[in-house]
Amino acid sequence: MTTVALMGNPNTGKTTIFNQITDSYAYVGNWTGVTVEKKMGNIKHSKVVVTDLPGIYSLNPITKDESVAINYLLTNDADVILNVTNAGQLKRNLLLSIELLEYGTPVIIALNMIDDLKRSGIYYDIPTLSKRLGCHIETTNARNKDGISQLRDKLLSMPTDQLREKPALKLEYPFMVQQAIRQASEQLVNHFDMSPSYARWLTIQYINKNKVIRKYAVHNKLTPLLEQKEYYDAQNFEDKIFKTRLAFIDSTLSAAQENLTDTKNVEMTSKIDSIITNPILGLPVFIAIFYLMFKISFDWIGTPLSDQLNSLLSGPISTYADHFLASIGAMPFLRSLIVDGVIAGVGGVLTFIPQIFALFACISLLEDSGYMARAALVTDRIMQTIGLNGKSFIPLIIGFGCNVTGIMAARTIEQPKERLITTLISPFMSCSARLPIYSLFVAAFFPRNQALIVLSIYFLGIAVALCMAKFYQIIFHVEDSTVFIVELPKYHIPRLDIIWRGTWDKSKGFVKKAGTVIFAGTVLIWLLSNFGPSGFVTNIDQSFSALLGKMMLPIFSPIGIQSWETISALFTGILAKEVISSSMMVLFHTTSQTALIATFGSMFTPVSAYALLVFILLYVPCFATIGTIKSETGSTKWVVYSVLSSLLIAYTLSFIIFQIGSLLF
Amino acid sequence: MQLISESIINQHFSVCNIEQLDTPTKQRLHSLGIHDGSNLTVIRFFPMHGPVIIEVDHQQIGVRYKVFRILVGGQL
Amino acid sequence: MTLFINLLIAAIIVGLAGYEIFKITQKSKQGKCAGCDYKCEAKLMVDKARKQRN
Repeated sequence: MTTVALMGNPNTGKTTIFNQITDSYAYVGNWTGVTVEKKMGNIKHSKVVVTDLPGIYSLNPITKDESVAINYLLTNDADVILNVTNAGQLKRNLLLSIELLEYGTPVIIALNMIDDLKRSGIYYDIPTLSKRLGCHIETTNARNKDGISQLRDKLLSMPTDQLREKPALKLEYPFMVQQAIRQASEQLVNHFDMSPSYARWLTIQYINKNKVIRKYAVHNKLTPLLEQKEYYDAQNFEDKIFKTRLAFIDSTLSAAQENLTDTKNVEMTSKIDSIITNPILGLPVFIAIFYLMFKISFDWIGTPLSDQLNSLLSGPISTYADHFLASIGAMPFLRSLIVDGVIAGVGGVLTFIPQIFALFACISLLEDSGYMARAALVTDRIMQTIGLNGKSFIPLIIGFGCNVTGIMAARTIEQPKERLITTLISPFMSCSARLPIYSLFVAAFFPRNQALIVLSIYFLGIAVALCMAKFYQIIFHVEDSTVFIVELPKYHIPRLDIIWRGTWDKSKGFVKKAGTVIFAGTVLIWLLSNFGPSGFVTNIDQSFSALLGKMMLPIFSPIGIQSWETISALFTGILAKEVISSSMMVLFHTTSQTALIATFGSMFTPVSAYALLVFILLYVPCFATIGTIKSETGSTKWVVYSVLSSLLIAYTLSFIIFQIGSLLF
Repeated sequence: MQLISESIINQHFSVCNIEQLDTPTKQRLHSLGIHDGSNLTVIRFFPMHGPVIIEVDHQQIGVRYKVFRILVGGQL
Repeated sequence: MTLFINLLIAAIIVGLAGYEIFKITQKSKQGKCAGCDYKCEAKLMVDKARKQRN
């Protein structure tokens, strides 16, 4: 079995290539840090396993996601490294390539985005490059699938056993460095049983102050390196190595460079950027884009479609199911479980699929086009006041899809404290699971301003997150970090298939949840509302859920919740936020949104409805998020803290909104 | 500040003083192929000392204003 | 007999739901999303690597 490791700078299209050469597919975006874990897949019809690793700028990691790559090199034994590079930025991409070539495993370099390079009027002579670097080179343009089949064939036909024999790349470092490398690696070979090329690579990485390698050396007591540490650092060898590599790249590229005559350099990117990253318009454009997103999801596409689905479900489907069950002799309690429980609850949540698909399609479009990096830039000034990095904004935006993925994406943040803060504030981002309940309430109470109300909820979530971030910054004494460097990728013309994939990738979780957690939550609430202390009850007012809800009512009435049903629904929401809406359908005994909306009219005022939405936005992270906070922070303390603090914040805010709102309206 | 920034947009500078930056920032700039002597073009400023978009080797990146000030050193 | 079948089906549904809830709590403990399989196989490998290092 051959294993291929995909490595390269961020945003060079590794994941796009991964998706095209393997059977499985992973999630793609046009910004740095899409892949935060490694993913594996098989090349179609073969036993070759490809591992997609997070993008890295060098083997020396600054962030947690970048250390995945170097740890992979230390613990796994790939047969081939496929180094994906952005042909237009070859100079800096080759800095990483050199590190990989020194490692000794056969490398294939894919010059991706070759079209961008040609458009800029430059081309490289591939044989020259290949000869100088001592490895095989393929040109690709993954977005259009150009060169992909050649690349795949090359990977399949690699005679890996013979390639092993090929010597690793050896640069002519300055004499002093060369000597240091030779001495240390000879000792490593003799005393630690390493292969010469691996020892050499390890030494170079050690001299280069690679944090992971330095730890590795201490852990494995590699004395030849440890003893020389002061000497290496004092002599500033790291800098000398960098300069040698740069000089090598410059000479290689100038030897291979060819100038193309025809250069129609239409700069789409700079034209779009004059508006998108305009110093003054930048933020308004950012807000407008979000408004448009909700307008599409709710007013224009989502809700109208959702209404259709709903009338189908509450009308023909429920009636037919009920008749069918009756005809085959199902008893009333089973009919109630299936029709009022499963169909009403699970089906009820599924009718919100159009809104969720529409929203995810919009987010995927933004990701694919390259807007996200700009969003980070535009918001950086605000984030800086709060003591966070514009980059923290990206995990937060991903959190709109699912807080779990948002927290995972926080791995791209360099500073540990900032990462912790981003993890703690991520649950305040309004994830898609909360969308059904918003949708239900805005349709009931704010039919004319659906998009606006949802937008306000989303921005309230952001505002709370940012305020908390500021608070944590003061508590943790976080110093203003300066590591804020974002690449602005060239805009892509969005491709329908990639957007569709992104949408499906994000939405399928929702569909899948309908069969698992939403189903479970629905059955649970059905049980709680049909059984009481005295057993099966016909009057829901004597059920467990009523008892529980009524008991808590005094606590919740100051924030405008007057019905015990809502309180019970909130409890089940901890399983997953979608369950709130399905629970409401079950508790109010209705399969139809229209009927539910009518019931709401007698229980809520617009103000209390808004207060409830705010409470739902903030109150407690769902099970999955709680688990992720635990695994990412590695402590139960933060989990408990996160749950309690969000409850407190949710209660306080909705209390204020309800009390003040009631006075005003 | 706006006045100064207006006049230097699209101007070229030679990168210097990378040594003065903190290690992670320096490391990241190096990985992006930016080193003392690289050619840097200013593309855009954000108000209130917000980030600055610069272009080096046909590649646009955003950096903090503070970093930018150090990179262009005495040339501003 | 009808009663028995009715009870059986109800029990299956409830049992299934109970199993799902159990699965969710188990999954959540490991920091996985209940719905999206956020690269579970890859995560297994990372866990393995983590154990090896310890």
